[in-house]
Amino acid sequence: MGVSSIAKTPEQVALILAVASLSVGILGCIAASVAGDFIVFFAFVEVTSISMFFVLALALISSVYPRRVKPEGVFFCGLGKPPYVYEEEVYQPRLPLLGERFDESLEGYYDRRAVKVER
Amino acid sequence: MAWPAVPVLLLFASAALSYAAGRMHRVFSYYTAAALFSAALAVNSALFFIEPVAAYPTIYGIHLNTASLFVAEFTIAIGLLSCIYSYSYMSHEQRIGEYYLLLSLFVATLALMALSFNILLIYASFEASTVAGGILILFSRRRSSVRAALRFFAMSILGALIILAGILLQHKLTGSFLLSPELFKHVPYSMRVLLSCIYAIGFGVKVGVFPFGLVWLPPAHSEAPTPVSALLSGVMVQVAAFAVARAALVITPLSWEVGLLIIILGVASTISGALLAAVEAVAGSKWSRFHVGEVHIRGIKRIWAFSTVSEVGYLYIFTGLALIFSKISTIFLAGFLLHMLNHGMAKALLFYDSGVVIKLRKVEDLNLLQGLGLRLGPHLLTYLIAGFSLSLIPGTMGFLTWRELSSLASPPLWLAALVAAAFTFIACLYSWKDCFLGKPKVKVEYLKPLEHLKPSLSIPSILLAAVLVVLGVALTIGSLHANPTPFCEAVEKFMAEAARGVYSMGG
Repeated sequence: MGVSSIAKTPEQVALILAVASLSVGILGCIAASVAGDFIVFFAFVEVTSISMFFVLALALISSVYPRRVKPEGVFFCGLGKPPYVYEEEVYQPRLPLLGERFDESLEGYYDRRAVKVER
Repeated sequence: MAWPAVPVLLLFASAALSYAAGRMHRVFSYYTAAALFSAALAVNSALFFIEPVAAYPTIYGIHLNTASLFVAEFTIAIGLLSCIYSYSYMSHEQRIGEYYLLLSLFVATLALMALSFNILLIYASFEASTVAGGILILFSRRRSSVRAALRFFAMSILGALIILAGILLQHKLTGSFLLSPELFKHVPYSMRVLLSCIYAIGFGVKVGVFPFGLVWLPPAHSEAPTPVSALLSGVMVQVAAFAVARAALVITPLSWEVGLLIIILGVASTISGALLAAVEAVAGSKWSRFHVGEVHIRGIKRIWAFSTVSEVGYLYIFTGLALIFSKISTIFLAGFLLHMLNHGMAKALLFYDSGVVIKLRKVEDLNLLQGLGLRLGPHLLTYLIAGFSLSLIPGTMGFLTWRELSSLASPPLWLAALVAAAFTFIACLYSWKDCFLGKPKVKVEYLKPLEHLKPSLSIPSILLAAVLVVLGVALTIGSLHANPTPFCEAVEKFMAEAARGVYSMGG
């Protein structure tokens, strides 16, 4: 069972890396504590620390400030051939780390599938 | 034998196995996590009751004493209840394996933080719990939950950098990362004060104390799925406060400068958090602010998130008092641990009950809520029990917080506590009224029939309410009586031992 069978999107690969570094770091800290090896202990603290910066920098910031597509960048004065915009160029925000679409029905703090609100 | 690490390792096993089980069937994931959480709780309890605590070895900073065990026990117990609650609450969740994996890791790292006297290990656990907790917030699948998680991470990194500066200073001063009073004996007083202040502020970011807490805590705790909110508010911030108390009391056992700073932060938190909780309950996020959603709401979970900022303030006040009045620090540290127990249980219970309302009505905004009336069942009562306990009302565990606080503290502190308790009481009654009899402020049509109340949603609330009532009544009666009851005496003795264990490895 490889990483590709677990992770289907780049966000899920980021999740696996974050959780793996977190787990290895903390378990390593415990093991190095028991063994009493300070250098190894310090190294595992660093591994744990990296997981937090990794999650913030690679997954969350890129999600909140996603790459925007400039329409003029893909417009060729009508001379272009379809598809004019490739699927990956379209702005399709996904949940960071989970790699799934946002649940639009929950955005208003109620479930639109179960409640109808007229403001 | 590394006995102290066994409960934590069982929680790590829960992370791996519940994820693997979740790939087969979602129910297997739940049962695996629940079984291993129960095993971790059983082993931790066994360490507590069977063997004399002082007999356990110190493994490079992982150390078992009464205080560490108490906090770890409490952490794992709330973790288990959240695990049970998740069975129904997260029934729609497709990625249940990942959810239980992260939940287990979150609780494991918090328990490890409580068990450690090594500042570097506390720091690593702090960061690991941030990663697991932050990702869990995203399971709400809203855009606002991503913004909340980002704030949570950004503020945690700020806190981590401050702590890192403290760790480097500590190593320069003592040549060690251990929090042991002997190591600090020959360090100049001014440097010890500086180090304590750095830790109080660095961990204060994670504790959610004023002013840092208002930035990240209300969004993060209210945007997370409810079982995670219960852990964030009921456990995480308190374990961080425990780390502050431990570090400050080891480094500066008697210091009015550090004590005063911590008390000021605590009082500001206590009043501002409770005031904003009441404002949220009455007027909503338009007035209380600190909201990351695209529409203004009167969020039921936001009320209790603001209240957490207030409650951690009490923990800071107790820590500050213990630093200033070091000869009777045991009284204040016992108050610290009792308030931790009270707030942890009551806040988890309030979030669980809020989650029941959300699950049944599919609405988080009190402005859209049609009161559930008697269909709320036992939650009508459990919600009030928890709210009253946070309002320091006699007969509840909250009264013990008041008793310890008023045993010596000055009238300004009593007044701050009373004002905060009054605001919390208003928030509780106002939100309870809306859950029970509320009328939507705009035209709302419910498209689906009301779901039945699932037992796994009610069991954690009923258990917590029962413990709050039994302990609250027994200890209030015992403490008011001229001759304390044997139960009350046993609790007092245990708390005194645990209080010493906050800062001493021998306790």
